[in-house]
Amino acid sequence: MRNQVSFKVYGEYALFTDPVTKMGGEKMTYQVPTYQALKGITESIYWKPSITYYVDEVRIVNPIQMESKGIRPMKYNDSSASDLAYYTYLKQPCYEVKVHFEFNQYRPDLKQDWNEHKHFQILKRAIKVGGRRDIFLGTRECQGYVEPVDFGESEGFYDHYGELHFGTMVHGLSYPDETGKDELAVRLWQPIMENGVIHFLRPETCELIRPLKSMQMKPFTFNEIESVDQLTEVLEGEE
Amino acid sequence: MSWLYDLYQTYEANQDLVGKPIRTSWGKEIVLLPVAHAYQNAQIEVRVTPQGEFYEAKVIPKEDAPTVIPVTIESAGRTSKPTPHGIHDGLQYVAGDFESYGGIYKKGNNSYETYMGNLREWCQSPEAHPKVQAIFTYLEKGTLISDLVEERVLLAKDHQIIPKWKKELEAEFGEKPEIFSVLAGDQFSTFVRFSVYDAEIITDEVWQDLSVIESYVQYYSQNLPEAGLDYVTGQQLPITENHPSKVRYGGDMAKIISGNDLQNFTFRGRFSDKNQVAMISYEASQKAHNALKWLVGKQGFILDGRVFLVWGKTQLAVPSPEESSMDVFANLFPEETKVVTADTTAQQFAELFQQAMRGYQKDLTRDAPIYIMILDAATPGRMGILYYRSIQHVDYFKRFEQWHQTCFWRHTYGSKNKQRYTFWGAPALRDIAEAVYGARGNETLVKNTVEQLFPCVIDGRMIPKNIVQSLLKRASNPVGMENWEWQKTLSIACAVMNKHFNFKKGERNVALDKNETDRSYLFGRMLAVADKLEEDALAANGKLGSRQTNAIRYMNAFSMHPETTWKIIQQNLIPYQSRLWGNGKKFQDILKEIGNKFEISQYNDEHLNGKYLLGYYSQKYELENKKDKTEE
Repeated sequence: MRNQVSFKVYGEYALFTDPVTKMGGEKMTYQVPTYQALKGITESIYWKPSITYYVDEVRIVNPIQMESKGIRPMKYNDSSASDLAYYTYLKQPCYEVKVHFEFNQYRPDLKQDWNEHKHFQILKRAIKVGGRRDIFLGTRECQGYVEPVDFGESEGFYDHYGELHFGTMVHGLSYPDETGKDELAVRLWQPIMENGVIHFLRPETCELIRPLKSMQMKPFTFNEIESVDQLTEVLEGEE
Repeated sequence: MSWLYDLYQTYEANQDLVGKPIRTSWGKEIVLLPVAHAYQNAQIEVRVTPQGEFYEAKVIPKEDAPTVIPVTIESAGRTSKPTPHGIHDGLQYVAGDFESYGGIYKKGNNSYETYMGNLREWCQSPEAHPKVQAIFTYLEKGTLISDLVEERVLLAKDHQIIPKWKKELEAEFGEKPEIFSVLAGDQFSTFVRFSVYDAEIITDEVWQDLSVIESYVQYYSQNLPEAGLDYVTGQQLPITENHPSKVRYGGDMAKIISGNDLQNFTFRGRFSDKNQVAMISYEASQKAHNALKWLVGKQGFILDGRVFLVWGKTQLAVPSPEESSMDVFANLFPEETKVVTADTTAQQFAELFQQAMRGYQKDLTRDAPIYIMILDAATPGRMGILYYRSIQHVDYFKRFEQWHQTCFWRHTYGSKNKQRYTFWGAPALRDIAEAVYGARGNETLVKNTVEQLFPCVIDGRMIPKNIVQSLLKRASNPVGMENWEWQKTLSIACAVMNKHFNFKKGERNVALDKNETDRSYLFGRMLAVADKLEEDALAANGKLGSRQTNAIRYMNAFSMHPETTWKIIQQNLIPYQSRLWGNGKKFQDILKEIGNKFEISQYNDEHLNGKYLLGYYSQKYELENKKDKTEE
């Protein structure tokens, strides 16, 4: 596929919160990352508003294991008060992710930036150095690390496992700048892992969609973005 | 799959058990609750005739109090706001003469009217049930309290209910009426359940009658709120925001699914309302929670509030990781228990165990998964899921068996019907945890340790180092314990060390390995010889058991500095040795033989690791058993 890259992301813990347990605050993780979580991780590696990432596949390398921790979250509105909760994390998660990017058709205003080769090369470089921003696996306290990888090359725990179903899960959130609609919606789906690999549906083919609330697209103008050419001028100009 | 969906499916797979009470092995009655039903303790039972006339009433003894009652979404989670249940309810709802007997409705709501309104609606719907209609006809008369007072079930004075029993009332009313011994609050809080008495045909009690349950479920399903996208099934179904509590036990207020913190950012941020986070259908929530409650009541292992639960979807009872080899064995093969308590060898036990497991697995379909769940609440209101896994039963049994075959030792601490028995295999996780911290160990520590050990069984992980270390320390300190406790700790420690060091790979016995050259093992053997020698000498003087041997007293120091401590122990041995005359030489020979196994450089003062316990145990076991043989 065009503009496709693979990377490995891993960490000590991950918490892809099951929304059912999020309302009350005793967070428990999903067994596998959501589409949205992986998209977010990719965007932390490198992103521009002109491109949209599509997560194609994820490969679960390590066995799915959970570990709970007693947590003392501070109350947001009262820094003197705290709460007690049990959070349940995934232990030693390791994933291989295959993603590609497309130009965001809902941002024709940024058409000048639609330079495939440039973005592809930057993305590859960004993966090599572990991403441009902090990577986290689901929640902020779960730091993750990114490396380039040959997808499917290493040995995985579920390589010969057959099918594993996860029931109904969140696929991701649809933001206005990816759908063209002025609303935030959530997408659900029923993923199946086959020998450790989950093939993701494209967001627009998800059938279980639930609008949440109205939301406007964030406006960007081209002048707010520093172009590569400008950057080169700045860097080279110093000499 | 997701825990909620797995529980939901467990409920569906066991539909035919819904509403049928079963008794657990310890005599508790539990029911897989139907949708829109809940458990409630009732204090008074009122019988009416099919024509709707009062027949009789009685106080329900405490052990018979739990009643399955129909509820609505609102009434199941009601607190101070009055919302009536389906049929059976508190006095303020069911009694039309509540106010005239001195009752006061909270918040100016006439609870009786709302209750009767709901009941009328049910009775007029096509799903109405004749028994319920009889109850309705009776309650419409509004004479419940006066009937109860007349029957001497409730106590009233001057047409006013007496809230609490007082000693002074004895003069007027005689002995304390029964009702006061079953009530927790005052008489106004009495919970009444109804039944229909028909002289001609005997039928089930109303609260056990499956046709009444069915009638309510049908009726109520039409009154459900709007449909929405259910996050559990992925279908458009009526949604609920109220989810059941009382998961672990009757009075448990902790909910797994809740959401009432609007101030802080438990869910806010991207979302402004808890509905935006997730939606769950009434059906899925009810079925999943009811299945969970039922499983917890039936087979959950509860330790200081933490629930450890293992189940299969169709074959519900599954050997739990928590259990010792003996427990598993006794549960799978109850009639064979005797075989094990007698002189079964380690090998025999291992084979029988394996056989039992195979037999068990035969009943399972090929890919029936096994579910493992751990629940606990950090605060009274919310419960967290601390661990959740679903595993193919083939994998589960493979790892399970591996645990029992590698965390293997000989244990003599078990007793059943006051008969002590010996078993080979893995100790119960709780026993391990208690051995690590001692019997006085903090309950929280113990339950955390059991939780840490769970993955060692299920995922075949190594036993955490801190557990191995503390166990080694405790087992090396017999002075701090009673003898029986130390013996128990020692054999548990041996099982753990055996697993940790993977010492006798695949070999399932405790026999002494005379070819082993590991220094810790050899030092352990030496300690056992010294211990036995002194014991024998004391026994010869008739003083056995009067005090601990030097070997036992120095054990702790010995484990830290074996070489130095050995010198002391050996010096102390000399008088005993001479007392044993010729027999002493036997021990000398063994010590010499052990000494020869040492590589000179290994004979030093470094700390001993857990293998020394294995050496100690095996050597001691051999010396003791040899003696038995000569005596025969």
